[in-house]
Amino acid sequence: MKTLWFYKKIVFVCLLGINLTLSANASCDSSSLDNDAKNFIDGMGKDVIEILDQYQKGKISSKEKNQQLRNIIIKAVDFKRVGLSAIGRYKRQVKKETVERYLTAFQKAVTRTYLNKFGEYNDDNLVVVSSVLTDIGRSKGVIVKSELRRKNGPKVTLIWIVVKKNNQMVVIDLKVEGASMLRTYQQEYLSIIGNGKNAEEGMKMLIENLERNNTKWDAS
Amino acid sequence: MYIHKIKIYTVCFLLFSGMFLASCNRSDPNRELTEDEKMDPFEPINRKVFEFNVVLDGIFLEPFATAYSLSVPNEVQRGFSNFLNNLAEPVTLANDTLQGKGKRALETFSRFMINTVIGVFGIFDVAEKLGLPSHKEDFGQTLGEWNVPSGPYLVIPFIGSTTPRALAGRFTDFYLSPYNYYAVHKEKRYLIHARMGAETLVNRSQHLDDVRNFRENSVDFYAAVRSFHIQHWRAEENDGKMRNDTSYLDDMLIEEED
Repeated sequence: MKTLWFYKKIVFVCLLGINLTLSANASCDSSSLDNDAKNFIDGMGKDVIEILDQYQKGKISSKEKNQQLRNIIIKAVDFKRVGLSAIGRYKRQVKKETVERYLTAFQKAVTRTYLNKFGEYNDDNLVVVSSVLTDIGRSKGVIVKSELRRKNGPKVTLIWIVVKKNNQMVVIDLKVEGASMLRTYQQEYLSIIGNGKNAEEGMKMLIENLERNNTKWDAS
Repeated sequence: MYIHKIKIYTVCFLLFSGMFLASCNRSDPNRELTEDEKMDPFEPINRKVFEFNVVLDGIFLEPFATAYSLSVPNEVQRGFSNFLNNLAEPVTLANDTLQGKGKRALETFSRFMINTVIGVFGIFDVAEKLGLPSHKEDFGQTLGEWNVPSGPYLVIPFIGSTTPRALAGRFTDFYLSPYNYYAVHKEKRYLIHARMGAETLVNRSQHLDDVRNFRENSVDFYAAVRSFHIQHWRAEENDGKMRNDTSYLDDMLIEEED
């Protein structure tokens, strides 16, 4: 009887130990994810401001500035996931080549949008204010709140939704004054695709529109 | 007399727009609508009015706002914007009170007093530095707080994106403003026009890049602006608490392995 009681105690202590270790790991992972996300946005903001500063001081050309900013954006945004999410169910209703062509045009269009947005930070200051862990689908993500402190107007709240992908932090959405870029893309794109006779035609209309805008941008 | 005129114009406008809106419909009623499109039953006419507003903006507002933004020093622009915001604080205070938000009402009252007295009629936002950040409440939000539905998305000439609830809010806010009350009763209507003009100019100058970005980067400018407004209004409900909401991603975002 005493031996059984002793074994029960050992099992209890072991279970308690495992439980404590798992909780500590989970909390450590969460806190590390939180910090990684904050540092990621903070670092990106500093890199962007550094590039803009170098450009203003004449150390780099406009072309170099855009190329360096583009490199930051391409590394920071999960274009495939965001792009496919923006067209919703249509991604399964069209040919694979159409999706590929769309993703190429989408990446270029979104890069341009972020490039323009970063260009606005010229005389302003981007400050990370807080971060909160959240559930994004089946995984964990972080909401990073930052403020764009403008010199001639009220501050603008930017909220970045960040997740970890292949051990690297990536942006999946940016909310400006409460409006999500992903949701805006989705509503805009679905409205265009819905005007086609079928999904394939609607997607082609969307791609042509995106490519037309991209060409205009290249020309300017 | 002035109030009487406004009432006549408003009734005529509502009648006219009601008839006009009722006569229009979507070209393909069988098409599956997006969430935003469901909120926009008068899309064909809204698109026309939007185009009109864009042209008007391009001819008058944007050039003036650009000139203002480029020629006036940043510090002066900021001071002027603060001054105009301070004039609007009594309306925010009234709406904070109507919504039963005592703490926020007290904050707004303190902001107004501090900025008017120490901040030289609101030119300097001293209150913000003292830990009292600015917030805005209008009667449209108050109606929302009282569970009045927003109604459909509308685009109105000269005004832009709105809803019937927000329009009713604008109308009521006009009467809640002591500044407007003073101008009307002292027969100094030019003060109202001057303030409206200044607010429009300052507001537009603060969004020059945003609007340009939307125009250049969207594939459907109208749909992008509509989506932005609908989301922004929703985010502003509950005192901006919805800004941190990510529940929309649950339905929208595909899983990584898809």
